[in-house]
Amino acid sequence: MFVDSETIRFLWPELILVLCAAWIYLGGTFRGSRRWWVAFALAAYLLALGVILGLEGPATTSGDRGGLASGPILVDQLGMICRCFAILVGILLTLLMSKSTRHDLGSEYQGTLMLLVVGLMLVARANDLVLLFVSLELISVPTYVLLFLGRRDRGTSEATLKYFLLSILSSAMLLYGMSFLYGLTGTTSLRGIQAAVSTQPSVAALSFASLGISPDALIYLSLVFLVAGLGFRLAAVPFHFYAPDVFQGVTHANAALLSVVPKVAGLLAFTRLVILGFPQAASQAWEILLVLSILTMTLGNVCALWQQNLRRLLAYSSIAHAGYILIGITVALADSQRAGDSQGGVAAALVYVVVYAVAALGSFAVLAYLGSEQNEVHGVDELAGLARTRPFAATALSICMFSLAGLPPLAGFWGKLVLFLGAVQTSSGGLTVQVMQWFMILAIAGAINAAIGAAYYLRVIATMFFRAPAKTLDAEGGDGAAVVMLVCASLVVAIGLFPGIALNLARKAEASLRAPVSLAAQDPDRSQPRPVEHAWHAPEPPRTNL
Amino acid sequence: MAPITVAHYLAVGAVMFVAGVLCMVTKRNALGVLMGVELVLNGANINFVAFGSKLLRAESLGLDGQFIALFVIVLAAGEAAVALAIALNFYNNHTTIDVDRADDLKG
Amino acid sequence: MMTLAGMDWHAIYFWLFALLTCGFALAVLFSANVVRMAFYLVLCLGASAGLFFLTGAEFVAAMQLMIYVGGTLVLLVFGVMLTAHSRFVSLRTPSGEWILALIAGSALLALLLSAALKVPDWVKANPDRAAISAADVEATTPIGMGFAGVRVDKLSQTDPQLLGGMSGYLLPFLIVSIHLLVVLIGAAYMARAKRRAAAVDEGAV
Repeated sequence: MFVDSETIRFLWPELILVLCAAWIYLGGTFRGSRRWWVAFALAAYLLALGVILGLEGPATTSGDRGGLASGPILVDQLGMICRCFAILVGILLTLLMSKSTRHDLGSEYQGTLMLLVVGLMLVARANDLVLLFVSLELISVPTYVLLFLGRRDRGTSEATLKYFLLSILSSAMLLYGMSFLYGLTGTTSLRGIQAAVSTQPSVAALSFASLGISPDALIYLSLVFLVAGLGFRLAAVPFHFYAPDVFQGVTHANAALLSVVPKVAGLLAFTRLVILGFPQAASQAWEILLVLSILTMTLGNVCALWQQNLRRLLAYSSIAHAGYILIGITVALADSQRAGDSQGGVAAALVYVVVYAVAALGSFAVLAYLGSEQNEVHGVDELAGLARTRPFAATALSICMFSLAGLPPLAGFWGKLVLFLGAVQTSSGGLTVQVMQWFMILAIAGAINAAIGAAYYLRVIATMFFRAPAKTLDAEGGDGAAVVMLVCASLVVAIGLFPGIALNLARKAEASLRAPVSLAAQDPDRSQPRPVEHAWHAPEPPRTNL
Repeated sequence: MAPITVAHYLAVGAVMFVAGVLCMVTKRNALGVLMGVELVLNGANINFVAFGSKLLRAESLGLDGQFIALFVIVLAAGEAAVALAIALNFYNNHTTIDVDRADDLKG
Repeated sequence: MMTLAGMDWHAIYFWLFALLTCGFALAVLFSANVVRMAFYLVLCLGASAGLFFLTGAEFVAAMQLMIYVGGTLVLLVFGVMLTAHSRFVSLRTPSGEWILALIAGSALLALLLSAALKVPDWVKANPDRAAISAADVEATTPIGMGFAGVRVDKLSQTDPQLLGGMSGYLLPFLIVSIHLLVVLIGAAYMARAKRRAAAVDEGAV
């Protein structure tokens, strides 16, 4: 009932980052040096990471695996792993942006980025509709600001306007969907919603049976709004069309941010809100998502085939990868309607989003590294002969692109493998014939798309290795971009060589998601309903049904 | 006259929602699109407040709806400030506020 | 209780404000002049504050008037004024788009209305409405306490599953304040005149 000391204890990493961000804003007015603030931000991220691992590692791994519900947050494995990943993304983006920001805005940039990372960390553990919405907005609002601080010309202002208008529409849709969810279940707690919709089927069935409508027509309607709101963040069809224009208009570093952060947040919100929130509607929802998934990856991959602009190409590739992530979500949704053990849809989607994020960050880092402030790399042709002029950058870009294409033994291969295996297993496991056929189609579509996708990545790689260099690129992106490039390339190789570690972590996260939740240690006087002692409030009867 | 119920308020919310979405789809002025967003947010707010109302339902849902409505009002205010800055910058760069003319970025 | 001389005043006021809200919302949609749209929006949101008062959410209604109508919309009007070049005041939408949008919109509206009207809990009027006095719906103090992290409005909640998630709103409240910080920083830097291009813009406008 209270945000008590217990909850605050679990929030230390976020609080540290918020305080550091405020300090960066404040101190930036006195001390302009860009390098100093980058170093400060990196130290803050490392401190927060240390606090997560030191304070909460023991708290979430010991005891039952279901996690603790403490106030509006849920402390579990999924949250912990995703927060660590959020901080990793924060570190990489900080390095990537260390040179690309204008001199006078360095501290504002770093502070805003840090608050965005806090938003991502809060999404990872939200257990409440309000907190989820507010944290998603804490990702969107700094994104608008960051898009702008990067550069101020015609293209950027157009891209920002487009992104802003669509993003705010998607937030409004999400909110409208949430309002129906709240009205139907009477609670804002995600676990409470789950309890109201699923674990008391008798209550739900009773109250719906008297309606004379199909049991979950309204839940289904609100689901459509939620999918619309979250689909924008994933860049899934039909909410994808902003991506190419926006990516083309903004800087490389901001494009990296847009391709990674909203996707991770969208997947997490999907997991917490849709897959867990109302499995009852899942029986119908997976059909929509399956079709969306096939459309998304096909459209992304086919359109990417004839792109000449590198950022547009990566934007379409980002759409295509949203389609692959939707495979995992579809498998998870189809899973939740039957009793057997899970096919690991959530785990596969998590692994895939991490693998995609690392490879995409790496690719954008190479592009940022190759250009200079006046002379950015735009076209695929500009990369001609890069293997001879800039062998390191060319190697890093090829590793990342091979991974995006899904070639073994790199990380992307394992990511795709677990996703497709999940779909194939669902198609062979005890559901109806129709369901099996659909999932077979999904798996086949995924495989065909992987082949189409390989074509355009290989085109870029072939341009770098087999064409004569036209001119030497500047390569003035700075040391930060170079470090990001190396880290991402080596992460891609490392996950590719030891996929077991990532898979196990993701499976643990999924298991913690499905396990029952225990309540956080309560103060003694909170464990029983306390007598009403306030004059301004009359007692109300406990809610018994919907 | 029939007594007023939650559904009546939901109907008003639905009208605002639809008007807002159509506003966003059809308006060419960036600020007009933004007004559509405000309508959509307000439609959702009416839903939240009506669901939580003690006057309209025998079983009240508590104050959560009002809390959410307050958060939305504040967030909308913040976003309007950013929106104004974005729209003004677009206007400065393009000397137009017509979003249909925003077509520099094409592949 | 609510009736005076046989009139259901709640219903009368509801219909008044509901018609105003819906009417001005549609006026915003159908008006082509952006200055008029802003004015209709002010009236629409003001009337919806009246609806909030009628549901008993007087604090939300007051905030709606003060922050939304008094702050947000003033910002919007400000934006309209700054960009109100005669070419952009009236931008007409092609009629083909209108027809498509109206068909899709009315389908969506019909869907939403039919869904909302089918839940018995929502179409049933509150039977003990007459027993509720204005003091019972007084919510300002509990709202304030809720933002400070203490929920006094749900003390009788016994279901542990719901109790666990029924948290105070201190954390979201803090996050919203962070939002406002970002917005302040962002708006200050974005709206700051670009020195290099300022001269060009003035020449062009």
